[in-house]
Amino acid sequence: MKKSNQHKKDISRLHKDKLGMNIPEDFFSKSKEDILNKVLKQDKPKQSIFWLRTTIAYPIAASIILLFAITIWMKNNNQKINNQITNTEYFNTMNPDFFDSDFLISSLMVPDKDIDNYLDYYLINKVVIEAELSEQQLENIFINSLFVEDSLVDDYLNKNLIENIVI
Amino acid sequence: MKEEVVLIKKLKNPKLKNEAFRDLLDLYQERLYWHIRKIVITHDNANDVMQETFIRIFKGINNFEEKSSLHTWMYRIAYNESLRFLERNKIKTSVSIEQDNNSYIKNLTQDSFFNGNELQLKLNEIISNLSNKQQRVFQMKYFDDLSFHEISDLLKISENTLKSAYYSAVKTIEEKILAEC
Repeated sequence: MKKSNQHKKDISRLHKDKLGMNIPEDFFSKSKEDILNKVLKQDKPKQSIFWLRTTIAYPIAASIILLFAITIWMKNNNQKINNQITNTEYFNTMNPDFFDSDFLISSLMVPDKDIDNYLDYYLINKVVIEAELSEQQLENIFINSLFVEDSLVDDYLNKNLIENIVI
Repeated sequence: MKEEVVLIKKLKNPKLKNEAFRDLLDLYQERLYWHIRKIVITHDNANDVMQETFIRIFKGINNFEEKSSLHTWMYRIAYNESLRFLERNKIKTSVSIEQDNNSYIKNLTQDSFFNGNELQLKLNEIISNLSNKQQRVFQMKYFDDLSFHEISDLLKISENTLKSAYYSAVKTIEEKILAEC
Protein backbone atom coordinates (compact mmCIF):
# COMPACT_ATOMS: atom_id res chain seq x y z
CA MET A 1 0.00 0.00 0.00
CA LYS A 2 2.95 2.30 0.71
CA LYS A 3 4.15 1.79 -2.82
CA SER A 4 0.66 2.59 -4.08
CA ASN A 5 0.48 5.84 -2.07
CA GLN A 6 3.91 6.81 -3.36
CA HIS A 7 2.65 6.18 -6.88
CA LYS A 8 -0.43 8.32 -6.17
CA LYS A 9 1.71 11.25 -5.09
CA ASP A 10 3.92 10.84 -8.13
CA ILE A 11 1.14 10.65 -10.67
CA SER A 12 -0.76 13.64 -9.27
CA ARG A 13 2.44 15.69 -9.02
CA LEU A 14 3.45 14.71 -12.55
CA HIS A 15 0.14 15.98 -13.96
CA LYS A 16 0.32 19.16 -11.91
CA ASP A 17 3.95 19.89 -12.79
CA LYS A 18 3.86 19.03 -16.46
CA LEU A 19 0.29 19.82 -17.50
CA GLY A 20 -0.92 22.32 -14.87
CA MET A 21 -3.93 20.15 -13.97
CA ASN A 22 -5.15 20.30 -10.37
CA ILE A 23 -7.75 18.57 -8.27
CA PRO A 24 -9.77 19.75 -5.25
CA GLU A 25 -8.29 19.09 -1.85
CA ASP A 26 -9.04 15.66 -0.45
CA PHE A 27 -10.78 14.85 -3.69
CA PHE A 28 -9.97 11.15 -3.88
CA SER A 29 -11.16 10.25 -0.39
CA LYS A 30 -14.46 12.10 -0.95
CA SER A 31 -14.86 10.61 -4.40
CA LYS A 32 -14.17 7.14 -3.01
CA GLU A 33 -17.04 7.53 -0.55
CA ASP A 34 -19.35 8.78 -3.33
CA ILE A 35 -18.52 5.80 -5.51
CA LEU A 36 -18.98 3.33 -2.64
CA ASN A 37 -22.33 4.86 -1.72
CA LYS A 38 -23.55 4.65 -5.32
CA VAL A 39 -22.26 1.15 -5.85
CA LEU A 40 -23.58 -0.25 -2.56
CA LYS A 41 -26.94 1.46 -3.10
CA GLN A 42 -27.27 -0.23 -6.50
CA ASP A 43 -26.02 -3.53 -5.12
CA LYS A 44 -28.66 -3.72 -2.37
CA PRO A 45 -31.20 -6.42 -3.17
CA LYS A 46 -34.52 -4.82 -3.88
CA GLN A 47 -36.88 -5.39 -0.97
CA SER A 48 -40.01 -6.80 -2.41
CA ILE A 49 -43.29 -5.93 -0.73
CA PHE A 50 -44.68 -8.93 1.14
CA TRP A 51 -48.00 -8.90 -0.72
CA LEU A 52 -46.33 -8.58 -4.11
CA ARG A 53 -44.15 -11.67 -3.74
CA THR A 54 -45.17 -14.13 -6.42
CA THR A 55 -45.14 -17.09 -4.05
CA ILE A 56 -47.80 -15.34 -1.96
CA ALA A 57 -49.59 -13.25 -4.56
CA TYR A 58 -50.59 -16.15 -6.84
CA PRO A 59 -52.26 -18.32 -4.17
CA ILE A 60 -54.08 -15.24 -2.83
CA ALA A 61 -55.32 -14.34 -6.31
CA ALA A 62 -56.43 -17.93 -6.91
CA SER A 63 -58.29 -17.99 -3.58
CA ILE A 64 -60.10 -14.73 -4.36
CA ILE A 65 -61.16 -16.03 -7.78
CA LEU A 66 -62.34 -19.30 -6.23
CA LEU A 67 -64.36 -17.46 -3.55
CA PHE A 68 -65.85 -15.22 -6.19
CA ALA A 69 -66.81 -18.20 -8.37
CA ILE A 70 -68.36 -20.04 -5.41
CA THR A 71 -70.36 -16.93 -4.45
CA ILE A 72 -71.76 -16.57 -7.97
CA TRP A 73 -72.51 -20.29 -8.22
CA MET A 74 -74.33 -20.32 -4.87
CA LYS A 75 -76.31 -17.25 -5.82
CA ASN A 76 -77.47 -18.85 -9.08
CA ASN A 77 -78.26 -22.13 -7.34
CA ASN A 78 -80.40 -20.35 -4.71
CA GLN A 79 -82.30 -18.54 -7.43
CA LYS A 80 -83.19 -21.87 -9.10
CA ILE A 81 -84.43 -23.32 -5.79
CA ASN A 82 -86.46 -20.19 -5.13
CA ASN A 83 -87.96 -20.38 -8.61
CA GLN A 84 -88.94 -24.01 -8.04
CA ILE A 85 -90.61 -23.16 -4.72
CA THR A 86 -92.38 -20.24 -6.30
CA ASN A 87 -93.75 -22.39 -9.10
CA THR A 88 -94.92 -25.06 -6.66
CA GLU A 89 -96.49 -22.48 -4.45
CA TYR A 90 -98.03 -20.90 -7.46
CA PHE A 91 -99.77 -24.11 -8.46
CA ASN A 92 -100.66 -25.01 -4.90
CA THR A 93 -102.13 -21.67 -4.08
CA MET A 94 -104.01 -21.28 -7.33
CA ASN A 95 -107.40 -19.83 -6.34
CA PRO A 96 -109.79 -17.25 -7.78
CA ASP A 97 -108.80 -14.59 -5.34
CA PHE A 98 -105.17 -14.98 -6.30
CA PHE A 99 -106.03 -14.76 -9.96
CA ASP A 100 -108.36 -11.85 -9.42
CA SER A 101 -105.89 -9.86 -7.45
CA ASP A 102 -103.19 -10.75 -9.92
CA PHE A 103 -105.38 -9.92 -12.84
CA LEU A 104 -106.46 -6.65 -11.28
CA ILE A 105 -102.94 -5.62 -10.54
CA SER A 106 -101.89 -6.55 -14.09
CA SER A 107 -104.85 -4.78 -15.60
CA LEU A 108 -103.85 -1.59 -13.90
CA MET A 109 -100.66 -1.69 -15.87
CA VAL A 110 -102.46 -2.09 -19.24
CA PRO A 111 -103.52 1.10 -21.05
CA ASP A 112 -107.24 1.76 -21.41
CA LYS A 113 -106.98 1.86 -25.17
CA ASP A 114 -105.68 -1.70 -25.29
CA ILE A 115 -108.45 -2.90 -23.00
CA ASP A 116 -111.02 -1.23 -25.27
CA ASN A 117 -109.50 -2.83 -28.34
CA TYR A 118 -109.45 -6.19 -26.66
CA LEU A 119 -113.01 -5.91 -25.51
CA ASP A 120 -114.19 -4.78 -28.95
CA TYR A 121 -112.47 -7.70 -30.56
CA TYR A 122 -113.69 -10.12 -27.93
CA LEU A 123 -117.29 -8.93 -28.03
CA ILE A 124 -117.50 -8.89 -31.81
CA ASN A 125 -116.18 -12.41 -32.00
CA LYS A 126 -118.48 -13.60 -29.31
CA VAL A 127 -121.56 -11.95 -30.90
CA VAL A 128 -120.72 -13.23 -34.36
CA ILE A 129 -120.05 -16.75 -33.17
CA GLU A 130 -123.15 -16.84 -31.03
CA ALA A 131 -125.20 -15.44 -33.85
CA GLU A 132 -123.86 -18.04 -36.22
CA LEU A 133 -124.47 -20.79 -33.73
CA SER A 134 -128.01 -19.68 -33.04
CA GLU A 135 -128.71 -19.43 -36.76
CA GLN A 136 -127.44 -22.91 -37.29
CA GLN A 137 -129.50 -24.19 -34.40
CA LEU A 138 -132.64 -22.64 -35.89
CA GLU A 139 -131.89 -24.20 -39.20
CA ASN A 140 -131.40 -27.58 -37.58
CA ILE A 141 -134.63 -27.24 -35.65
CA PHE A 142 -136.45 -26.26 -38.77
CA ILE A 143 -134.96 -29.08 -40.77
CA ASN A 144 -135.65 -31.52 -37.98
CA SER A 145 -139.17 -30.27 -37.66
CA LEU A 146 -139.60 -30.69 -41.34
CA PHE A 147 -138.34 -34.23 -41.14
CA VAL A 148 -140.48 -34.92 -38.12
CA GLU A 149 -143.46 -33.36 -39.67
CA ASP A 150 -142.92 -35.20 -42.92
CA SER A 151 -142.59 -38.49 -41.15
CA LEU A 152 -145.61 -37.72 -39.02
CA VAL A 153 -147.53 -36.73 -42.10
CA ASP A 154 -146.37 -39.88 -43.79
CA ASP A 155 -147.22 -41.96 -40.81
CA TYR A 156 -150.50 -40.25 -40.53
CA LEU A 157 -151.27 -40.62 -44.20
CA ASN A 158 -150.20 -44.23 -44.25
CA LYS A 159 -152.24 -44.98 -41.21
CA ASN A 160 -155.27 -43.17 -42.48
CA LEU A 161 -154.87 -44.68 -45.89
CA ILE A 162 -154.61 -48.18 -44.52
CA GLU A 163 -157.55 -47.54 -42.26
CA ASN A 164 -159.52 -46.14 -45.10
CA ILE A 165 -158.62 -49.01 -47.30
CA VAL A 166 -159.32 -51.49 -44.56
CA ILE A 167 -162.52 -49.80 -43.67
CA MET B 1 0.56 -10.32 -9.90
CA LYS B 2 -0.23 -12.65 -7.02
CA GLU B 3 -1.92 -9.77 -5.18
CA GLU B 4 -4.05 -9.08 -8.25
CA VAL B 5 -5.18 -12.72 -8.41
CA VAL B 6 -6.20 -12.59 -4.74
CA LEU B 7 -8.03 -9.31 -5.30
CA ILE B 8 -9.96 -10.74 -8.28
CA LYS B 9 -11.00 -13.78 -6.22
CA LYS B 10 -12.25 -11.51 -3.45
CA LEU B 11 -14.09 -9.29 -5.93
CA LYS B 12 -15.87 -12.33 -7.36
CA ASN B 13 -16.83 -13.56 -3.92
CA PRO B 14 -20.17 -11.93 -2.93
CA LYS B 15 -19.25 -11.96 0.75
CA LEU B 16 -15.89 -10.24 0.23
CA LYS B 17 -16.82 -8.09 -2.77
CA ASN B 18 -17.51 -4.82 -0.96
CA GLU B 19 -14.32 -4.93 1.07
CA ALA B 20 -12.30 -5.91 -1.99
CA PHE B 21 -13.84 -3.06 -3.94
CA ARG B 22 -12.57 -0.59 -1.32
CA ASP B 23 -9.06 -1.97 -1.85
CA LEU B 24 -9.54 -1.71 -5.61
CA LEU B 25 -10.47 1.97 -5.26
CA ASP B 26 -7.42 2.61 -3.09
CA LEU B 27 -5.17 1.06 -5.69
CA TYR B 28 -6.61 2.36 -8.95
CA GLN B 29 -8.90 5.32 -8.39
CA GLU B 30 -6.26 7.99 -8.84
CA ARG B 31 -4.58 6.36 -11.80
CA LEU B 32 -7.86 5.90 -13.63
CA TYR B 33 -8.88 9.46 -12.80
CA TRP B 34 -5.80 10.91 -14.51
CA HIS B 35 -6.17 8.57 -17.43
CA ILE B 36 -9.73 9.84 -17.90
CA ARG B 37 -8.89 13.47 -17.18
CA LYS B 38 -6.48 13.65 -20.10
CA ILE B 39 -9.20 12.46 -22.46
CA VAL B 40 -12.17 14.50 -21.22
CA ILE B 41 -9.95 17.43 -20.06
CA THR B 42 -11.99 19.07 -17.27
CA HIS B 43 -12.08 17.93 -13.65
CA ASP B 44 -15.88 17.79 -13.37
CA ASN B 45 -16.20 15.65 -16.47
CA ALA B 46 -13.37 13.41 -15.32
CA ASN B 47 -15.05 12.93 -11.95
CA ASP B 48 -18.37 11.96 -13.60
CA VAL B 49 -16.71 9.53 -16.01
CA MET B 50 -14.59 8.01 -13.24
CA GLN B 51 -17.67 7.32 -11.11
CA GLU B 52 -19.42 5.70 -14.06
CA THR B 53 -16.30 3.66 -14.76
CA PHE B 54 -16.12 2.23 -11.24
CA ILE B 55 -19.83 1.44 -11.23
CA ARG B 56 -19.29 -0.51 -14.47
CA ILE B 57 -16.28 -2.27 -12.97
CA PHE B 58 -18.29 -3.26 -9.90
CA LYS B 59 -21.19 -4.55 -11.98
CA GLY B 60 -19.03 -6.30 -14.54
CA ILE B 61 -16.39 -7.92 -12.34
CA ASN B 62 -18.13 -11.30 -12.45
CA ASN B 63 -17.91 -11.23 -16.25
CA PHE B 64 -14.18 -10.49 -16.18
CA GLU B 65 -12.66 -13.55 -17.91
CA GLU B 66 -9.06 -12.80 -16.80
CA LYS B 67 -7.75 -12.96 -20.37
CA SER B 68 -5.91 -9.70 -19.65
CA SER B 69 -4.72 -8.23 -16.36
CA LEU B 70 -7.27 -6.56 -14.09
CA HIS B 71 -5.30 -3.38 -14.51
CA THR B 72 -5.64 -3.43 -18.32
CA TRP B 73 -9.29 -4.44 -18.16
CA MET B 74 -10.11 -1.45 -15.94
CA TYR B 75 -8.15 0.94 -18.15
CA ARG B 76 -10.11 -0.33 -21.14
CA ILE B 77 -13.38 0.35 -19.37
CA ALA B 78 -12.20 3.83 -18.39
CA TYR B 79 -11.01 4.53 -21.94
CA ASN B 80 -14.28 3.34 -23.50
CA GLU B 81 -16.32 5.26 -20.94
CA SER B 82 -14.35 8.43 -21.74
CA LEU B 83 -14.94 7.99 -25.48
CA ARG B 84 -18.63 7.37 -24.80
CA PHE B 85 -18.72 10.60 -22.82
CA LEU B 86 -17.09 12.52 -25.68
CA GLU B 87 -19.57 10.95 -28.10
CA ARG B 88 -22.48 12.16 -25.96
CA ASN B 89 -20.82 15.55 -25.62
CA LYS B 90 -20.30 15.70 -29.37
CA ILE B 91 -24.03 15.30 -29.93
CA LYS B 92 -24.76 18.11 -27.49
CA THR B 93 -22.05 20.56 -28.53
CA SER B 94 -21.15 19.42 -32.06
CA VAL B 95 -17.51 19.05 -31.11
CA SER B 96 -15.51 16.32 -32.81
CA ILE B 97 -14.23 13.39 -30.73
CA GLU B 98 -10.83 14.05 -32.17
CA GLN B 99 -10.98 17.49 -30.72
CA ASP B 100 -9.32 20.21 -32.66
CA ASN B 101 -6.61 22.26 -31.01
CA ASN B 102 -8.83 25.28 -30.33
CA SER B 103 -11.56 23.37 -28.54
CA TYR B 104 -8.99 21.39 -26.49
CA ILE B 105 -7.24 24.53 -25.26
CA LYS B 106 -10.57 26.32 -24.76
CA ASN B 107 -11.92 23.52 -22.60
CA LEU B 108 -8.66 23.28 -20.68
CA THR B 109 -8.39 26.99 -19.87
CA GLN B 110 -12.06 27.24 -18.91
CA ASP B 111 -11.62 24.52 -16.30
CA SER B 112 -11.32 26.05 -12.83
CA PHE B 113 -8.87 23.26 -11.88
CA PHE B 114 -6.33 24.22 -14.52
CA ASN B 115 -3.77 26.78 -13.44
CA GLY B 116 -0.89 25.98 -15.75
CA ASN B 117 1.80 28.49 -16.71
CA GLU B 118 2.76 29.40 -20.23
CA LEU B 119 5.07 26.44 -20.69
CA GLN B 120 2.50 23.98 -19.35
CA LEU B 121 -0.15 25.44 -21.64
CA LYS B 122 2.28 25.12 -24.54
CA LEU B 123 2.90 21.45 -23.74
CA ASN B 124 -0.84 20.83 -23.66
CA GLU B 125 -1.18 22.58 -26.99
CA ILE B 126 1.63 20.54 -28.57
CA ILE B 127 0.11 17.27 -27.31
CA SER B 128 -3.31 18.25 -28.62
CA ASN B 129 -1.75 18.86 -32.05
CA LEU B 130 -0.42 15.30 -32.26
CA SER B 131 -2.38 12.65 -34.17
CA ASN B 132 -4.98 10.83 -32.13
CA LYS B 133 -2.86 7.66 -31.94
CA GLN B 134 0.31 9.56 -30.94
CA GLN B 135 -1.61 11.49 -28.28
CA ARG B 136 -3.03 8.33 -26.66
CA VAL B 137 0.27 6.43 -26.75
CA PHE B 138 2.28 9.34 -25.38
CA GLN B 139 -0.17 10.03 -22.55
CA MET B 140 -0.49 6.36 -21.56
CA LYS B 141 3.25 5.77 -21.66
CA TYR B 142 4.58 9.01 -20.23
CA PHE B 143 1.89 10.05 -17.72
CA ASP B 144 0.05 6.79 -16.89
CA ASP B 145 3.23 4.71 -16.88
CA LEU B 146 1.68 1.82 -18.79
CA SER B 147 3.92 -0.66 -20.60
CA PHE B 148 3.79 -1.00 -24.39
CA HIS B 149 2.32 -4.46 -23.89
CA GLU B 150 -0.54 -3.04 -21.81
CA ILE B 151 -1.16 -0.19 -24.27
CA SER B 152 -1.15 -2.70 -27.13
CA ASP B 153 -3.70 -4.81 -25.29
CA LEU B 154 -5.79 -1.72 -24.57
CA LEU B 155 -5.77 -0.09 -28.01
CA LYS B 156 -5.48 -3.31 -30.04
CA ILE B 157 -2.46 -1.95 -31.90
CA SER B 158 0.79 -3.87 -32.32
CA GLU B 159 3.61 -3.01 -29.93
CA ASN B 160 5.98 -2.04 -32.76
CA THR B 161 3.46 0.41 -34.19
CA LEU B 162 2.97 1.86 -30.71
CA LYS B 163 6.69 2.24 -30.12
CA SER B 164 7.09 3.97 -33.42
CA ALA B 165 4.18 6.31 -32.66
CA TYR B 166 5.51 7.05 -29.17
CA TYR B 167 9.06 7.92 -30.23
CA SER B 168 7.73 10.00 -33.05
CA ALA B 169 5.52 11.90 -30.56
CA VAL B 170 8.44 12.45 -28.14
CA LYS B 171 10.59 13.79 -30.97
CA THR B 172 7.86 16.20 -32.10
CA ILE B 173 7.29 17.50 -28.56
CA GLU B 174 11.04 18.01 -27.93
CA GLU B 175 11.46 19.89 -31.18
CA LYS B 176 8.53 22.18 -30.54
CA ILE B 177 9.51 22.88 -26.93
CA LEU B 178 13.07 23.66 -27.96
CA ALA B 179 11.79 25.91 -30.72
CA GLU B 180 9.75 27.87 -28.15
CA CYS B 181 12.74 28.26 -25.84
